[in-house]
Amino acid sequence: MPSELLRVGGRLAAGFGAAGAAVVLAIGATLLPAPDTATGADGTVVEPVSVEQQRACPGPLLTTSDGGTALASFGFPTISAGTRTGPATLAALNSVDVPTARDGATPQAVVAPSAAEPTGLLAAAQAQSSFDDTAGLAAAACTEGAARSWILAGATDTGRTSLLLLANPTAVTAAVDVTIITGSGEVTAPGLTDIAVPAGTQRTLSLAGYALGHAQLAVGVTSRGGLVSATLQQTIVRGLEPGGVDLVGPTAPAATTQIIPGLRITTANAAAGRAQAGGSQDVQTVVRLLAPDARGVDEVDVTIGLAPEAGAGEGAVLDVHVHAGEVVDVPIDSLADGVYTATITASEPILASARASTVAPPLERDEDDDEDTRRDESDDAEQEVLDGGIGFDVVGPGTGPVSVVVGERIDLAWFVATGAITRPVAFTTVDAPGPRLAVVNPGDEPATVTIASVHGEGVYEVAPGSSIGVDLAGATVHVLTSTAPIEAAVSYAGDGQLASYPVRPANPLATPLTIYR
Amino acid sequence: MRPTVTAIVVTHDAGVYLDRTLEALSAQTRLPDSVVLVDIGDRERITEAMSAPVPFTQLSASPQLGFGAAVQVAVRSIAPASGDGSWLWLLTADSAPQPGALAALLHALEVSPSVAVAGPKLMQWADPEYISSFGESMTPHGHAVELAEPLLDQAQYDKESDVLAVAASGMLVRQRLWEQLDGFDPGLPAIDDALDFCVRTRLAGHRVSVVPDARILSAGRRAPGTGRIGPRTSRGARERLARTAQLHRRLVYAPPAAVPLHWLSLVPLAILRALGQLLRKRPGNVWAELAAAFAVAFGHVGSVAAARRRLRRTRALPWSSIATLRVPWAEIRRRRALAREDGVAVRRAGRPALQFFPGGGAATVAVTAVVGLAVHAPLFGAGSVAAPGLLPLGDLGQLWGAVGYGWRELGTGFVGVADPFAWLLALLGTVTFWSPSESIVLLYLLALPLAALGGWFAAARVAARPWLRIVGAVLWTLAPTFLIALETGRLGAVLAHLLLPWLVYAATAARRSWSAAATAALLAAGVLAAAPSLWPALAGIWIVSTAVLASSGRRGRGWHRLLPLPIPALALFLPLAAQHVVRGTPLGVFADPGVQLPTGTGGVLDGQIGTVFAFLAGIPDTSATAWSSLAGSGIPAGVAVSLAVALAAPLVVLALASAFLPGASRAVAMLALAGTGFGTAVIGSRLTVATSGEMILGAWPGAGLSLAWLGLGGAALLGLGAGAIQIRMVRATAGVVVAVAVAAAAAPLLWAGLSGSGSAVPGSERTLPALVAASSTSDPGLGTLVLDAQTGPGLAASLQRGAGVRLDQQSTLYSAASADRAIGGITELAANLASRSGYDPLSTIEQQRIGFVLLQPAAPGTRGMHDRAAAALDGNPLFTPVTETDAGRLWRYTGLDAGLPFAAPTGPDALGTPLGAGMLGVQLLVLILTLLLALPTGGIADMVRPEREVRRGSGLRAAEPSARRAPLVLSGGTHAQ
Repeated sequence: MPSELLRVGGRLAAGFGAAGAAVVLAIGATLLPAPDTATGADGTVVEPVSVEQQRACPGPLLTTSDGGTALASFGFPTISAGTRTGPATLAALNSVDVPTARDGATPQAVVAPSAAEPTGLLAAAQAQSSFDDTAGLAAAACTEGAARSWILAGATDTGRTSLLLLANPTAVTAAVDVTIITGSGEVTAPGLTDIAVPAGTQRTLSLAGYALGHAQLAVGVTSRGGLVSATLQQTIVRGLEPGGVDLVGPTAPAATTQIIPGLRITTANAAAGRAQAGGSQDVQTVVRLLAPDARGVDEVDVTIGLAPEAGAGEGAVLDVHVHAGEVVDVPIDSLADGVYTATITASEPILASARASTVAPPLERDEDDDEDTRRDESDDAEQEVLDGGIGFDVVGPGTGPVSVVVGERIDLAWFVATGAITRPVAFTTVDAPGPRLAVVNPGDEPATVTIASVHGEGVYEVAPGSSIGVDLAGATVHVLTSTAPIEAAVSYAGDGQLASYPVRPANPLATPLTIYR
Repeated sequence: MRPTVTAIVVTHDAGVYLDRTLEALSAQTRLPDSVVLVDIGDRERITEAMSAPVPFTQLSASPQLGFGAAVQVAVRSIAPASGDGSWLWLLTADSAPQPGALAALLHALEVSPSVAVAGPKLMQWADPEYISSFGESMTPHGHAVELAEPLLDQAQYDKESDVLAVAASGMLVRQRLWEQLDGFDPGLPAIDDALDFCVRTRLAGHRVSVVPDARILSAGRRAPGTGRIGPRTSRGARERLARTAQLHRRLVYAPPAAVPLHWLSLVPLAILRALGQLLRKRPGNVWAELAAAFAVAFGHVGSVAAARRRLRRTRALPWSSIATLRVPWAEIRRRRALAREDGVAVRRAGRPALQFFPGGGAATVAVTAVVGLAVHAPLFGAGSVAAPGLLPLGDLGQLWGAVGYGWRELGTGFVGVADPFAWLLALLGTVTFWSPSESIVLLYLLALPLAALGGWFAAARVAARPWLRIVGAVLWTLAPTFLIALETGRLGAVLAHLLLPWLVYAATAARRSWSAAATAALLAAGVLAAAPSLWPALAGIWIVSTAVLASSGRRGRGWHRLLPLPIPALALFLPLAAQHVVRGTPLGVFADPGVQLPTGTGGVLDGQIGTVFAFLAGIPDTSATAWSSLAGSGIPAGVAVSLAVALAAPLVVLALASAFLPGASRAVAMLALAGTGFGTAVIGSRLTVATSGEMILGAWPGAGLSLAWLGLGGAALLGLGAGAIQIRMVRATAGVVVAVAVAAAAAPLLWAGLSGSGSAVPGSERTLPALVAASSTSDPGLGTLVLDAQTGPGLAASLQRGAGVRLDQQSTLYSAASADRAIGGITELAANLASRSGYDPLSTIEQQRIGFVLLQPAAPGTRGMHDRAAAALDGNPLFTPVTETDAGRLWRYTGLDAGLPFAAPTGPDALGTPLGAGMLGVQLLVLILTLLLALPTGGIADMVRPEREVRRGSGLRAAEPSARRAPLVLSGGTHAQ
């Protein structure tokens, strides 16, 4: 039956043809290129009109040492402010919560005209050394206001004072909400929301009033209306002995990768020894971590890498787990003297900063002939066990007898995560010992970095994934330019003095924007 | 005195007809005294002299001449009438007389000397037993009427003798009268010439009579005729000639006072009659009506005047003298009643019943209605639906005002053509005209049963068994793409899915009727307006199917009715496409109308291969919240999506298997349809047709997948319906497996709506915060700058006026345009407001009349940009923060209290420009005409004024003995007079 055969054959041909066509169509569909989503839509790039440049310097150090709770300022900070080509204008800010200014100094607002050229960019920083009961070097960059910032620093346990300075250099009153997070989570206390910071004033909050007795603190500051510059002053007094002072600015916003350049370890052995002493655990080098809004995640996996500058020396790598919403100090105890770059990578966006201390031997004092400057502190050692919310085993105080040299001069410094620099930035060094710039190139491209100042211009190559250190002249405005994104921080180190502040792009609220439809 | 008869034969490329006629003429028992042949043919022809000994003259004349003019040529060539005994016998090439014809005619004249014109009985050439024409008359209004029906000649009309008129061919006319009346009216070259001549004969005081014993053949419509009318003259041209003749006669016969009135009424009446022709489903006659009216109104002035003079000169009797010879209305009505009965019988014979109610169609729709109401129960009583793709609709005026070419209040505003989708929205909103947004609620509540209804009827085109049609309805209702479109609020895709089965239903009948073709054209326009991405697919299907049918002979009969299918869609889309091309975004015409939404992907089906699998299963968007809501129950979203894909496998396999079964050609066509839809989905999703913020968007694949689902479902139904009865169990099992699998895949999507976890929820009438809406009631032009942070360093900016942007305002011109073109006036403002900047925003704020700035809530990844913009706005003394709602953070311009100096920019509305008004007029005209043609009034029109199969009109070919068929009595009246 040829016709029957023909019909069946035709059907088979149709069926296999259809199936084959379907397969070809499906394979073709997988091979058809998709549009390049990376390029995105065509937007209009708009460079915001440049505006008067404004910085707030937190002003003289504060103390409550007169007894009572009244704050008093003391001393004169040296402010280095200006553009590469000229000086800037200073205007006093009204420090409303500090009734007494012993030496008459106030916080300052620094103003310069708008600038389009890097040479016109404003840079300002201040430094203040103290040798009284508040001893050490406190240096800080004068910063622009921000709507949201995190400061990972401070402690309120015995002898530690943490003062939050909120400066509003803008023309609009700011309403500020402060979030305090400790090793055991967020502190709920009245008076932390809707703190009014009028235009041209600086408010001061003692964190002990809200969270007393915490060794780990993080402070979140959110402002509405005007933009506030937040700075934290941490002072340590161990017994009667001054233990250091520092001014800490905000760290970089939460991200899964944080870089802390220029972590400067100067007296590793002395500090390690001192950290064994009771009440002196916070001499130890630590990395402070907080996963501020990791929702629905119990633990955040964090890797901390410490790489020595220019590859010289030993680094360290630590893997830790961090509970979300709790501040953790991760002790770093294996570093020799040197400058390190801390790179923190985490599974969730995380905030990071690092603390280091310098320990200098007592000053030679002719009139002071105490024979016995050593005493055994091992009995007190147990009292300062750090507590709360740590996902690792705290390396406790040593069990053996520890000898402590009375009169050792200790200073602490907080090193914050910096953030990428993609445009020319201006920064200034202050008149403080050992100014040094650390430049990190976290990317994959080699970066050619130019540092220009009135003293001349230096050009440096920074290999991908490495860092360099550049010694700078003090009290000079520099302009930093790079061919690839870099991160940078300035640090100071001297005899019993340690301080650092980040180099950040000017006016982060005025970078070019792409406007889409 | 012996009468002398001059036979005048007019021939026009007549071929065999003429030979037969001359032969028959030679065979006359009473030979004519002379024969004059007037050849007005285009081709050279040498005619043999007649075999009979008759003086034979052959003349050649211009092919342009009509019958009457050709006769006039012959008459001028012979001697003028010497007395009343000279007769002219007018014959056409196809009027072969029977041998005794002339003798009978002359005999009748001898009996009645007052008769000046005698006509024979015209018989049909193919079936000489059937009458073709036997006397003509007019209605009281002057319409020409044949006296005899085209019936078997049973001598039923033979008692007639005095008539108003006879047909031209075979007419025996006294030569003197011919000369006196000046022959036929040159203004009537083709039709009604003899009627007019006979009327004038009557008015001149002579009689006109028919002679039943004289029989002459006539080829009717197939008659070679003249250059003016012949076998190649189309039906429309014939209609035009007839109408022209009637109008010409009307002007000639009218009393002088009425002529201007008649003249003025020509064109208006023609337009009305043209609309009537559309309602009668005779679009070919529309042109005929208009052409005839214009021809008579402007081309016949001279000939009408001449004809009126001629009539006045020769008229001896009043018009009332012929009143009794007209056909009375009663007779007309009787004839119509008879034709109506015949028509009903014929129509009933050709229409199989669909069995919607007994076949389970109604029950299926009822069940899906219950499911649909349950699934969308949260929407009960809501004023509008909120979903990612939905916005409120404006009031009725705004909806209809959005149609056409005019000012679009998007971005900084522009003048542009509306998306054709605006027509759909306007129609939809008119359903609930008191609150148009409620129409969308209604659509959601009725979506499932409407889909089931359409699915059932479309399934009825491929499946004869009731249970298969039910399976088809279920498959169509539970199509994942439809349910996802509903959940994400892609109104266009929903409407396309609802309209597609009806398009199939109408298009498959389009070859048979103009009404179905027009309906299909409107539905195609609707589908394309809702989902422009289907343009290439539907255009391709149209071209291929028309070409295939046109080249397949008798099986493709009626393919010409498919030709105009795209006209309404083209009328809607061409202006938009033109503007897209001018603006340099030609692909934008394929963008989905309405809100621009990205196509989501999620879980394990990311990437091209995963997308292809999802598309094969009819799932356009794997990120639907329904899948992720399953995550709460322990099933990861990715697994749920994969499961849904796997559950569609039986359908795909069955569809492919149908190509192996009997009837594979239809299954292959269905699979080709599926492939086209799949290709549309893939290509559409790989193109860039629009942007939204920093995202580039392709056409949503859902509409293409609806088409693919249509093809898959159709092929599956064909497979289930094919083959022998023995495998019934296998078939039933397969059908149930497919339906259950698809239902299982759809279950999470249905459950999402039912449990309220879907994203289509009751919404409000505004999209901006209440504060803005309140301000806008007193100042509808007040603008709100809406900023939306992007993941990169950028913002999406838009300017919304009044209570917020509406669905009817959306335009693909805007969504395809670059930021510069769309919002060029506010990019500087937006960027600087979101920055610490020294920009002076006042002039832009005042020019654009901006009162508020709204920063939309941050999404994952946009927190940094959001905070920056918020900080910058907070620090801007020109703006005061007002409120923070679900819609975002709102700032108010402090200068608003003092009032803004300028009105919001605006432009012409749809009727404000000649171009816009003209465009809208053309579109409306096309749509209304198509609608008139689509309205199912054909039956009604046939009832009111039925037309019988008038002339059997068989000609030479049918006369060949081999091709001869048994006479079919279509007009089957058994009435005899």
